[in-house]
Amino acid sequence: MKREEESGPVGRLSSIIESILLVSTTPLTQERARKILHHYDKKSFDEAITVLQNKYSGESGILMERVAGGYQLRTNPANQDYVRALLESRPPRLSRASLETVSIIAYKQPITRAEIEDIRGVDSQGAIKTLMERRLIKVVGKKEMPGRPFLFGTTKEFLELFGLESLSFLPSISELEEILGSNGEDAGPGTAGDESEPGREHEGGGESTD
Amino acid sequence: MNEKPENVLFSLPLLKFEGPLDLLLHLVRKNQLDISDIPIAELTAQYLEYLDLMRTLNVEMASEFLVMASTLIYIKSRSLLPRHEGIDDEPDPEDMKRELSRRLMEYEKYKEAASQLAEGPVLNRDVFKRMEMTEQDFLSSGSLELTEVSFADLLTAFKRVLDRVGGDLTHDISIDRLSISDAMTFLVDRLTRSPVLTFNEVMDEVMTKSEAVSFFLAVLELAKIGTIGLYQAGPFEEITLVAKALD
Repeated sequence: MKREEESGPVGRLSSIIESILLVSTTPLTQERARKILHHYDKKSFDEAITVLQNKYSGESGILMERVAGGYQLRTNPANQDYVRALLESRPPRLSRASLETVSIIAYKQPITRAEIEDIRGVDSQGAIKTLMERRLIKVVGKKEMPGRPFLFGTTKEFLELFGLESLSFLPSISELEEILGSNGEDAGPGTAGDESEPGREHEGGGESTD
Repeated sequence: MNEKPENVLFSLPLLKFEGPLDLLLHLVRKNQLDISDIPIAELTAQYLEYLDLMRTLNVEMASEFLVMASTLIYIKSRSLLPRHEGIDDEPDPEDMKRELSRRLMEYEKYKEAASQLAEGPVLNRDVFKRMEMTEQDFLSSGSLELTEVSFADLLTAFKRVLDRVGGDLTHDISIDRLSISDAMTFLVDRLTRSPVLTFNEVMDEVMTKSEAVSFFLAVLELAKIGTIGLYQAGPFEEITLVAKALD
């Protein structure tokens, strides 16, 4: 591979990163990019990223998003109908059971099937199977208790599917409580999740079921 | 006609509940009951009414619904009975009620979390990215043990196609013969949309022997110039065309 001379201008660097982003099928992490571009210093790297972020924003048909700990070029949601027409694809369907189950896992991982079912109040084996097949969850270990049941956690694919940079970008439990508190039954869209907060709170209560 | 029919019909779409907690939560919210201090008698009556309705309508019901019904009835009946201090090691109905409140509130949070997730931009529904299925993904997906295809395998597959379309020699009146490059363009176009095709899927398009020849040569040509890879799971298995780098 031909190497650029030291301290290439930011323009050149952003051009390279742009190309890499175009080709990459998975989110491009900082580590990965910096490994490929190790002869550039962090400062110009950050500047190049900013250049691209400005370019791929707003009404651009391609947006540069932070997803699953990396950068990814994605289509602008405003154009979704046309892209879908091109692909002739049906949007992915997630049943309510799967959505509920994956939400519980996202917030409470690592978690066993019994613990999930305790929260949902209903058998969740089917949902877990579907989520495993779609690689949205994975087995992350076994719980140290009789029977050593599997512990489940979410995957990178989960973050990618829902466009989350990391788990901390899920609305926090207290935000959810607020939404529920403010409009009772059916919570409206709300604006939760936009302004990220650094950490999500786990549930306060010292619950130790089972 | 426009009047809302009482209750039953109106609630039909709501009959699909994820479980007893989902149903209870619906009842609590619909009747604006206090979730932290549930009026058990009222809730139990409504809950049982719904179960009856579900039974009448033959809605499939998970066993958890019945377990919850018995729990509710238990709490209700116990709270009506005088308490025997000391000699009682059965669970306290007030505790059970509080536990039920806790579970409902807990469940509601995750239900809300789920709907928040579903509202956000979902990949391949609202937003799209570069498609994933490259040759490498296909090969490393591990679902098939694939080996590269020999020319003899291809010929065997081609022979089967010819046998199928054969006998059209007297009927070849089309002037527009499909050229090899047309066939290549067609294949590349299809592979752009779905990067993995089986040989049979390709040959399903074929109506005449000359088209079959064009397609066959197009497949060979694409393989030669490296646009596609040809694989199969084993001898006599389906031959699969996998797009390499399409631009």
